[in-house]
Amino acid sequence: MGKKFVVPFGSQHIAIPEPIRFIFTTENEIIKSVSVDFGYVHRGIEKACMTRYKYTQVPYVVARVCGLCAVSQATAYCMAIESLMDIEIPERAKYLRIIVHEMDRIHSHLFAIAHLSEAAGYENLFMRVMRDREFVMECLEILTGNRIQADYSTIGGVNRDLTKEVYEILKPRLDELERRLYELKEIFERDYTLQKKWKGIGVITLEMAQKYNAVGPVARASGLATDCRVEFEYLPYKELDYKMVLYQEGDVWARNMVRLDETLVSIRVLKNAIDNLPEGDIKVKVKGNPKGEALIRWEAPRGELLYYVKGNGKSVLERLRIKTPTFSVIPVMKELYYNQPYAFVPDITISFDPCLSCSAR
Amino acid sequence: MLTKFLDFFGWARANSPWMVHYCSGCCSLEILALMGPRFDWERYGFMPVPSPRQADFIVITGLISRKVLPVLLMTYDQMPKPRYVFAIGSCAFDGGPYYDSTSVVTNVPEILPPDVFVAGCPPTPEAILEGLLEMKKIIREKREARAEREGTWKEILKQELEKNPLLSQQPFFVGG
Amino acid sequence: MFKMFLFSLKNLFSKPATLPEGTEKPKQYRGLIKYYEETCIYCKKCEMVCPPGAIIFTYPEDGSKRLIFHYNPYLCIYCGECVRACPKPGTLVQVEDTAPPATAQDKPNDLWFEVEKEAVESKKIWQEARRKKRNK
Repeated sequence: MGKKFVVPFGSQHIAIPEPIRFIFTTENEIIKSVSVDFGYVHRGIEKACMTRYKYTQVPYVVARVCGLCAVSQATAYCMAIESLMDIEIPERAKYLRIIVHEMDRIHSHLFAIAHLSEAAGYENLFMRVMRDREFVMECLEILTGNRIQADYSTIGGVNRDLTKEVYEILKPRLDELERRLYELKEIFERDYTLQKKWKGIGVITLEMAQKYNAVGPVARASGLATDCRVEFEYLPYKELDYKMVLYQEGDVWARNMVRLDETLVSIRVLKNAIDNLPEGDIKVKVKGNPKGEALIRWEAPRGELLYYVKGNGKSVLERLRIKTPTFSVIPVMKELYYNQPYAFVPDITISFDPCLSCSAR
Repeated sequence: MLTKFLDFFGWARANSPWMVHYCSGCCSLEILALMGPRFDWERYGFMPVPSPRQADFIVITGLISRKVLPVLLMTYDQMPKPRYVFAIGSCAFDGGPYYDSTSVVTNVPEILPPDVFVAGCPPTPEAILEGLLEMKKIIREKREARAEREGTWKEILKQELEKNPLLSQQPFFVGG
Repeated sequence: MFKMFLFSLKNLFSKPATLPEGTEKPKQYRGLIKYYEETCIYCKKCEMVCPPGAIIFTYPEDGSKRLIFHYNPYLCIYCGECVRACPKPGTLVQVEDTAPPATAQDKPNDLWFEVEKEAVESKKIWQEARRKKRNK
């Protein structure tokens, strides 16, 4: 029997740029027990939205819950208020919301793929994927005004329009990006060292995914078919030819391939939306205060997002509740560490793509 | 002749500044975009290091909550002198949009005063590069770091260590 | 693996992908706010709408209607709500510049804390002066 050795994997670490803290107990380099500590970025956003911000200012505050899923949080809140006050937004605004949404998803998935290749030691591939990601960041900057925090959705529509000059700049960049992504897909499927490093590690079976309630790309890599864009009809994804991506293996390699395939599907949906934009206004005037309750389930890049809104006739909301996708996935992550060597910890953690600002909002 | 020889160390230290990156907010994504090939920061000599004992300055990206504050001060305490502070984003200035929350520390510049501050929400990588070149000038002229003279971080760190002696936790053996 | 090796060799002889210093690219960036005093009617809607509180009006001592405008580019989140809420178009305009980085000698924090205190105190003096004018 070997000696027990306690290793803290602290909140400041270079492999994982998120403030999460683990305490592992290892014996002969095999992990025997683990304890998780998060909540380092708590800001009290729900309490602030109930006491001092009016309901028209809340989309700008809620978008700063997370840097990578900023567009999804603001859009989900606006859809909740619109379904509560019975506002009908024009068709052009719905298509514009889909366009920015899918651009956000592309850049978030490419960031996760690059990060995982860097943790595997393949720095050449990290640089190549980051170079291809810059095409999408330029498109976002021209359309919305900023690279990450695009304050784009408000209650009743969107803030900026897609004019003819913007369309001339967007189209060649998207074609070039699609060509490069097909080359990347060939490399990830056939590379010898990456398959040796990632196949068969951190396996989640279908029963485990159903028992622990996994969401997002983590569940779709194990065969569990759950996707809010197919189940609900808030935005017109069916007209734009959207299909769900499913893999059956459930290991680190399968989660990576699910994200890469989702990027290709998103580019196809984007190109269809840009070519078939309907005419009309982009905003509708909003009067009055919200009264009643509403519940919305929407799809962020990491999984399912849930918003609950309650108003009682004043301009400040009575209750706002947010459930983020990384919060539901942490119990599964804890189960995967038992009886694995200590050297596999960065690969398993980064393949989940955790976003700790979301989970402690 | 001796001053020219000693000046060589200042030149060497200014041309390859190594940094420790404490990420706890959305601004840290723009630091990771600086590592890519488009806004290359290695051509100026910057590099992220895993341990604070090898670094020249610390980068604070984003907001500081009350649970994070002892960890941040402990990391700054472990750096060897001369050590500088670089702050990004409007959350590090006065709390940003959360300035009246009960769990966000709003007077960070009074506790750990920064030497260079870049504004934005979040700022573009070109703006951060301008700030980093200012930092290079400060290291070259060998100015004293602002956190050594002002700031209340030493008393706060002493209080936190008395409350919780396991803060500087190292790996240790348990049982036999 | 062989394909990546050929790709790296090809990159050795082609143009670098980094952006050289000082290039101008076409962008519609959301930057700083500029204030024009001629068309302002002092309704203070921009102060009420701003989420982090980066716009503050201070009051003059003689009780007149012309308030003084203060703006902090280091606290602003550049969302553009004040431009949309202003009832007189042309008073507040958003330009494409960014704020310059501030060093320790500029002391931006201490000046702003003083402005916040002055806004509260000068309001009481201003209200006293207006009451005296009305009673005359």
